[in-house]
Amino acid sequence: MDSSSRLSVPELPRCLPRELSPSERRALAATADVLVGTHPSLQRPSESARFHEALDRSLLARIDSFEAVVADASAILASPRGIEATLRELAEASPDSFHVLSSVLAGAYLILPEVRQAIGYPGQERRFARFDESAEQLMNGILDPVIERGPIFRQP
Amino acid sequence: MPSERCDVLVIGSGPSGAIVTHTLASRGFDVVCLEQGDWVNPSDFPANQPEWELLCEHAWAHDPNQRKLPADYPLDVSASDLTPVMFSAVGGASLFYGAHWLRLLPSDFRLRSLDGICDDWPISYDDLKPYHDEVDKFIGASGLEGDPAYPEGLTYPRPPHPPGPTGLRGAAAANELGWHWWPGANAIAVNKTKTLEPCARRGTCEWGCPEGAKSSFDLIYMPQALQAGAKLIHGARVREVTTEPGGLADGAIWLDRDGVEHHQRARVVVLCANGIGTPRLLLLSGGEAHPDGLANSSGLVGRNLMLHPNCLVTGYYDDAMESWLGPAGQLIHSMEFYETRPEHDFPRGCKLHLVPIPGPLTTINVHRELPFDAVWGDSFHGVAARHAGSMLWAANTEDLPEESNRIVLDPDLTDDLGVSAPKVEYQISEDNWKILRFAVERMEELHRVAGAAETFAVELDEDQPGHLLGTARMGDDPASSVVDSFGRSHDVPNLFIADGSVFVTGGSVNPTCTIAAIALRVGTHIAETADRQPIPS
Ligand SMILES: Cc1cc2nc3c(=O)[nH]c(=O)nc-3n(C[C@H](O)[C@H](O)[C@H](O)COP(=O)(O)OP(=O)(O)OC[C@H]3O[C@@H](n4cnc5c(N)ncnc54)[C@H](O)[C@@H]3O)c2cc1C
Ligand code: SF4
Repeated sequence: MDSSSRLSVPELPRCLPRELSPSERRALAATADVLVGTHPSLQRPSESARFHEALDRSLLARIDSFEAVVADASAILASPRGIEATLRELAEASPDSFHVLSSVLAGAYLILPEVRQAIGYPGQERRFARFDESAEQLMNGILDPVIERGPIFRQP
Repeated sequence: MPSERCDVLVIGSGPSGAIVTHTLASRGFDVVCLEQGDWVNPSDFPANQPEWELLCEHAWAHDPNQRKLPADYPLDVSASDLTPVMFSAVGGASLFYGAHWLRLLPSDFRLRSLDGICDDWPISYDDLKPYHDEVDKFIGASGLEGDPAYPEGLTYPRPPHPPGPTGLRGAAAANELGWHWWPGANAIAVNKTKTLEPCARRGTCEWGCPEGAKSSFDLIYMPQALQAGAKLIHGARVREVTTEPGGLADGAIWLDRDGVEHHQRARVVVLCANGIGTPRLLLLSGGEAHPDGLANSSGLVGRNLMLHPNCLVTGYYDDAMESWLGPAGQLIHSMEFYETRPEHDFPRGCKLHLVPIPGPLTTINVHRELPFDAVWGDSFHGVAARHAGSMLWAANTEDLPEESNRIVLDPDLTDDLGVSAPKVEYQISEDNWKILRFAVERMEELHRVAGAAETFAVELDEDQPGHLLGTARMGDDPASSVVDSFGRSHDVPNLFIADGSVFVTGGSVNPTCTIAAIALRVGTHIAETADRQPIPS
């Protein structure tokens, strides 16, 4: 047993366990295109170089399902029924596989700063509260009805 | 390998272990704390990365059976309605907790007297109050005094966090309904407090605070304990509490990461391994003299497990409310339906809390129950954009103790060092289901009055029973309890328990505030009675 490894922190690899082939990348991006649809001011995943960087991060975050996600996307692209119909079938027949595939692809897309901006989400930012912010929000009578009602606990 | 004998051996370094370790080390006792996990830095937490929501799905999952870190032990949940969640590290599950910080109410200690159900605790609200006050001061708990859900005299050393746009929206709805609400009480630093940094409201508290602002007990109490001279051994999985022929505890056998056995000898042993880890250890201990486990003459070790089943309703609003703004933590809480009410067809009730929803992938996940076309394809950006106008009401519900809900040793499953794993046998009672459904209806009502455009209810949240209680209950009668009111085992007078195992009933407030006060009371009692303490020869 390696006693130098960390016990309470997952040790994720820094890079994917293997290079994705161009057709696997194409399959993942094409599946993402269908999942996230179109937006008037955003590039589709398959058109965005940044999506592929984000995809690598997402695949690493779910490294436990790496091969399954890649295989599912490849099978979807190869399916004669088309991507959308095959995705719908996967969602019906194998919700767990669909969940992880769609999470990885949607998750990668939602990392992109331009996507975050478009949906009005700034990412987890540091926003320290002003010293008087809670007083300002609470000392304006909003608590009066609660206080006026008086104690609500049962005294044994 | 035998060790020097210490005065006090503490097993587990979560909130209870850190407080006991600090209390005794700062009074000059020679304390060793054994912890199976190791240190986690705030910079390790997933919320430092943009893909943090994906990291939380598996690698940093709340469920130890999912994330399977070397520090974790597996749980057999094949006979349980719920999968308990926890974290194994210096600081224990407080690295993941939301730090909602509320005390039990006076009625919680008196269910037999008030409602004719369960048992009264051997202690009261007032008995714990001074210990609560001391812990709150130490960690700089934040909240607003004057909460009419509590007796007078409940004050907080630091002001509450701002409820923000979502908290205020929920508060206005509660006002309209005439229901109790109050600014959230949290164990999260509003400003720099000892070893804690100020909260930056990232809202990712339940997957580790990247700022070091939340009172996780690796960041508060444990550093002060180490400074006072305590010794912490991490990567130490305790397999057994050992006893000498006279029946007193004389230490514990622990395994290092290479599986090498060590024996830490001690005058007094304190178990702080949580409501699952503690009964597991007692059942593993005692040898042939105690085939049913150590300290188990009552037969109650492992029984009466309470898990506070949670339910939740997420609401989506048409206005942007910066829904990710923390802490999470609770922005506001409501105790309106906490107490037994004559008009209800169930005893006791629930505690409601409004919390932010940190990331947009969560919003996609919440919508997954809708048909494919309502979430994916051309609906996707619209759904993701709804994130900015979301908020979550969630409830802890009170599950009453039942002997059949219990922890036993699994006959087959072991941890990675070969130690028997716990099996959880737990069924949600019919009364508890009634509270869950009732709470969902009330939270739907809160959203409706607040103007939610759509709501999504989850009657049983599978990711949240991190409240592990009742499996070595306290009481005055050794036939019906495992420890006395100071956590001292009735059977083994130098063996103490200071974690949530000792709860007689669970209330429905999040338990760590009470666990912390109990741990301080246990630690203080050990110190104050040291001259009379029977110790092994
Ligand atoms: C996701 C989540 C959210 C939560 N939110 C809240 C909240 O908002 N408010 C609240 O009050 N509570 C909350 N809780 C519960 C809270 O975390 C626990 O009540 C609290 O951590 C219990 O403290 P403890 O010291 O008793 O046990 P723990 O924190 O569980 O610590 C026990 C320690 O013992 C160690 N241990 C166990 N067995 C062994 C062994 N055999 N050998 C060596 N070491 C061992 C473990 O590794 C662990 O570090 C939450 C929990 C989770 C998981
Ligand atoms: S909201 Fe505050 S306590 Fe929670 S993770 Fe952010 S900084 Fe930490």
